[in-house]
Amino acid sequence: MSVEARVIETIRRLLARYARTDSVTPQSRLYADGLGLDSLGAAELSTMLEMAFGRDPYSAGLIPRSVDEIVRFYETPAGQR
Amino acid sequence: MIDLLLAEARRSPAAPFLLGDDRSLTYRDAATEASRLGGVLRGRGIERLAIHCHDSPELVLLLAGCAAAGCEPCVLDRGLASPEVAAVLSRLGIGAVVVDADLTVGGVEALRLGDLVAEARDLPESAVETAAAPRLLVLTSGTTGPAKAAVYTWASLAAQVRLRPALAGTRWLLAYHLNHFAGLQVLLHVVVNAATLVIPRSSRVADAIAAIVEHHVEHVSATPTFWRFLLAELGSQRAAELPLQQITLGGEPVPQDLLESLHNTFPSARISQVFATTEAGSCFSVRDLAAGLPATLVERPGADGVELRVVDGELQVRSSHGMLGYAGEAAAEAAVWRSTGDLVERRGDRYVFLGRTTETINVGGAKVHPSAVEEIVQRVPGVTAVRCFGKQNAVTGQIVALAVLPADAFDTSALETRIRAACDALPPHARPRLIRFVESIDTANGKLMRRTS
Repeated sequence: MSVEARVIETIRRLLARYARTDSVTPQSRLYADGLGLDSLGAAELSTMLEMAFGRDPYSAGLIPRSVDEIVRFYETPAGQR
Repeated sequence: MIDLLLAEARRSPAAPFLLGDDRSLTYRDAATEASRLGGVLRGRGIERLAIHCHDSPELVLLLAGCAAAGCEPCVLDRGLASPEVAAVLSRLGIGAVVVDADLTVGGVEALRLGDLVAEARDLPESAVETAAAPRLLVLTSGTTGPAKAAVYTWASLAAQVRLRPALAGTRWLLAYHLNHFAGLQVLLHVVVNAATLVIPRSSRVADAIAAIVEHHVEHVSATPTFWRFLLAELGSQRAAELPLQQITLGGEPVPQDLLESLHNTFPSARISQVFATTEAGSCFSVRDLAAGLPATLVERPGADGVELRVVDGELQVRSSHGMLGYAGEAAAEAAVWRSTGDLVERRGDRYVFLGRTTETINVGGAKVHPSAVEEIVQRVPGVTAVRCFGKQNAVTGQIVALAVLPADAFDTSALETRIRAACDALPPHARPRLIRFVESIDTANGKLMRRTS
């Protein structure tokens, strides 16, 4: 499974916990202008990403605004960020 | 301690005092061995002694021997590694440690418990000498810094125990370790009331149940976590095998559902909740099968030398029979108010315990008390035990996390859905954002470990 597919799957699992079936694409915005995550949702997402990938963009000091930014975080080698 | 032991040895020499996994002693034998151990310690000129041993009849004898010799014992957590033991000994100025296994502590004399006991047996019979007002040290939990040692006299600890002649000959389980105030309280309840102390093979709940059954134990004082695991281990069929008459809970908040489960499982047993701290000593007990304590206990003038008050949501206590002070520090002021570290909330005519100040989870500035979450999750069918704790998080500082021990044969995916549904009753910041299913749950001295991870 590609990194993009894994990230999207992780976000879908998060939304499913709250009985939401939103369409999630690489272009999906994460917060009020998109999937509607608040700070608690972002906190939960960061934990789920950490569980899935071993690290997460929030803990690296980033605030990704879209699904694509999360994907790029994982596709970019750590030394080049 | 030694005086009580000697007195009971004269009254009922053949009465059983200690029932261990591989050794039992009558009051007469225990008094004799303890007195001789006192002679050994006196002969070696040891004034303050650390003890790094598992709970055993010999450890009890050594404590009584220390009292006979006027030597101050300080029982350490047996799980401490050598560097931690060295740090405690250095802080307390202790030059000798009794061990029951290999342990090297630089600059400190390590004495084998077995060797001391053997040396005591070789001593000739002599008149028993006992020290005046012997003391002991009880280490605090050290949640806010290095553990301190509360100084007590054995007499002041024994004075906190009510003498009840009906308890003579009853059997008590040692479910707390003897390095804790609660473990020493159980020991003193036994000695003061001429009862019998049953020491299980280990702190595992299965071994506790085996000891209760084998030795017909009627009195068990333990943490809510211990009782929760005991109920899970026991199942409904075996409850009748346990001849429990007195169930005591302390050391953690006691959830209402646990009180009800214990009452339903052991309908003829009396159930008490007790509250004590290492510094203030025994404070109060409640027997009305309702979680928390009646508000009247907080609002009344001091009874039995203990006063309670609530300041900024934290229970404070003022006790006339607390510790003498911390070792190495000036004597404690008499009747000083002490913070307990326990958070309480007034609900109707009661105060309920929310948890420890050090365990509070801070989610984006909003506080969450783990026990409130655990109480909800514990009621979900399929949950054997649950530990709620704060997990560090880059977005909100912390999130609420759960470690859940599921009952056998439960589909964890469905169970997670049910847990999340149950937690919808909580405000959003208090809902668990991480749920992990585990095969065991960490405890320390029978209490859940809720520290942030």
